Amino acid sequence: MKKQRKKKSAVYANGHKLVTRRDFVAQGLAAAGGALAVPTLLATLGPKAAYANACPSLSAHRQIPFLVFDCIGGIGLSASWLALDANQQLLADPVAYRRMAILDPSNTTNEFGLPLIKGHGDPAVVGFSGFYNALTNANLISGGARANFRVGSLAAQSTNDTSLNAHHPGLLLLQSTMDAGGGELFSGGFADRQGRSGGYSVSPAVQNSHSYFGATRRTDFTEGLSYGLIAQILKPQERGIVARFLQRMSESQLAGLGNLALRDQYSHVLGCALNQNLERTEVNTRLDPLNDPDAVDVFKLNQTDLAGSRMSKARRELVAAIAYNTIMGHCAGGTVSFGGCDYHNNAMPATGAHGDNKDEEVGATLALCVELAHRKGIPLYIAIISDGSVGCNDDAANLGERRWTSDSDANGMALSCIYRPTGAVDQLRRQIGHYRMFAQAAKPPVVSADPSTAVGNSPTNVAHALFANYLALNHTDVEREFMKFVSADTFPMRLLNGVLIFDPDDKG
Amino acid sequence: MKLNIKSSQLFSSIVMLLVSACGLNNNELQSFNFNGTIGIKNFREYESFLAGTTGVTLPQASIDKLQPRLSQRGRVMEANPVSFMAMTMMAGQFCQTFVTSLSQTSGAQRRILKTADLTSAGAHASFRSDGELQATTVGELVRLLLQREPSDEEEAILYAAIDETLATQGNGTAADLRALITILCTIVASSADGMRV
Repeated sequence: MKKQRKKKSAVYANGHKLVTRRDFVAQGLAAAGGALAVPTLLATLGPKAAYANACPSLSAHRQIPFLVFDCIGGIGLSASWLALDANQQLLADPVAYRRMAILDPSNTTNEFGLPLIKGHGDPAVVGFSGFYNALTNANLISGGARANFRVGSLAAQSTNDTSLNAHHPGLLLLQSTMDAGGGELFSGGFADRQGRSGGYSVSPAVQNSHSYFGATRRTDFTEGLSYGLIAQILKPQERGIVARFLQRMSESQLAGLGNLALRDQYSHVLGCALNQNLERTEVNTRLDPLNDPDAVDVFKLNQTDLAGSRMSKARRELVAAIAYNTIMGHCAGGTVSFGGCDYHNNAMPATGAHGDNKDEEVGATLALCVELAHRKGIPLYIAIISDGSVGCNDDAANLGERRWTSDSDANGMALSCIYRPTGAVDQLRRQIGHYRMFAQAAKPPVVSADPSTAVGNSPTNVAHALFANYLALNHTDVEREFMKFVSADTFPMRLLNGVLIFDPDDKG
Repeated sequence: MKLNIKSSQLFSSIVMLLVSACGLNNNELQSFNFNGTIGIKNFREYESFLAGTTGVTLPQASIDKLQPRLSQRGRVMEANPVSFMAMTMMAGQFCQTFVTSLSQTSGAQRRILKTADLTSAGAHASFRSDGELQATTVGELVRLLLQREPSDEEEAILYAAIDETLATQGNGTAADLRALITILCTIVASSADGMRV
């Protein structure tokens, strides 16, 4: 029998069609406020914004995967990685390092480019080097990965010890990577915090509409790009019908928009969402590091504990989800945040809350991410930022003994790190900017990152410099790429070459 | 000469002129607000929209699970595959609860489908053969969820979805019919017009 499906408009009892909101309210059909509001900004966004959320179909990496480690509160990076002077050498007076709780600056390794403290004597009394312990722990990182891993630093004061510190390069890195075609399965980055930058700190503004998806559990990622409970409600073929006709319905509705770019983008992202899990399963297994033997083995996801990592199994799963999907190009990048880095009050080395333990956790995360990249044979860029640093005062009982007595924005430091499977990247310099000493009568000299350098007292320039270094690893013409995202008003281009740690001409 | 400019295009042009004149960039534009509405519904608006239109609620745990994935501020820049999927998931759960509720309520008390048989053994077969009921279902769902009449194209799309679902289900049960209406409801509620403000 042929179906008769005539259009039947809702009508009042008096016979006229429902047209106005009042009509619908009278019929009990109007409900949630705002549902009748006129579409506005969807119809007004310009093509640049419309472009941004595109979901590329190419899986090949166009740029090196990146991670940002946001160490919240002022971790003592300069208490592990040595501050250098204007000539890229150790500070002239070794006693100056006691301000950073470093007793013996000669007890270092240059294995990773930037000098790293190896230890301080009796760990129970004086403390230890968490970064060194982690980056040389065979449980966490192999010799092959270490050999091709390099670190440089930025001597940068923290001018704002809050989340408003705009030194997070996350949005710049994400924008660049997305524009280059990154993010096979997810149009944006993965992070362990909600927030536009993906971390705690602010990222300098970029004209874009990219963002990070913040999650607190591994399963948030695998469920987030899935069909969730719909998979329980509907049969697989029925889920497919929802996906296909939802897209057609939306495209039909968007056809009335004057902005073609936005319409295409909206439709494209929706299609990307609906089609990235073609099995239309309750969870998206491709995003799950538990399904990758390398990720499981590196992060020891089948073990309750991982010695030397100072991370719980749940934390390792979360970090592994971000790192694995970043390295594999499933998402366009990642940010990992570390709470508890404002550890200057946790003065006793023997206590579990001491900063050396936090250093070891950050170092272990670094080691594991680099090792996973090594297993996959994929390069990985990692930027490490923090809101200032820690310091020791003039009390001889405290100086140098890992008994930090204060925050120290002046000792601030950021790190720019690269693992490349084909060989270590050549470094133009080990440090951007420099530290300087101020002699004091009968006291050890005070140390400070020189505020007069390009990055010395400008968190925004720190973010831009980290971004420039990332570009240098991907492109030979760094200035051209840089200017796509950063205006000369924001960052003087004459400073660009001076902030490069890695040689743009060394492409392995 | 008669100008043929759609109102949305005209509005768009006026806004872009204003934006240019004010020197705003896209980020600023995304927070630019004429009448209290911005781009897409945020998580609270979307839940409120679904609860208000369907008249049912979900367990708070279900809402809490999806909330972080939805747009937090209702800005277009927050629209991404995760937020789209979360909206579809939330719509699907609301729709399933809604259709179940319809089937457990007597006709007069229902918001829509007041005369439809959703429970008897012959319900699926009746729906399959009743083009008028199919048209009523489509029209009432669109009016309820989008609060406007369906366009001809939307009707055609939803009829095609009905046909494909019926073909998939074969000689279905009443539960299959409820699944079909859940599918239609989910498509409408999580379509572009359902998620934007």
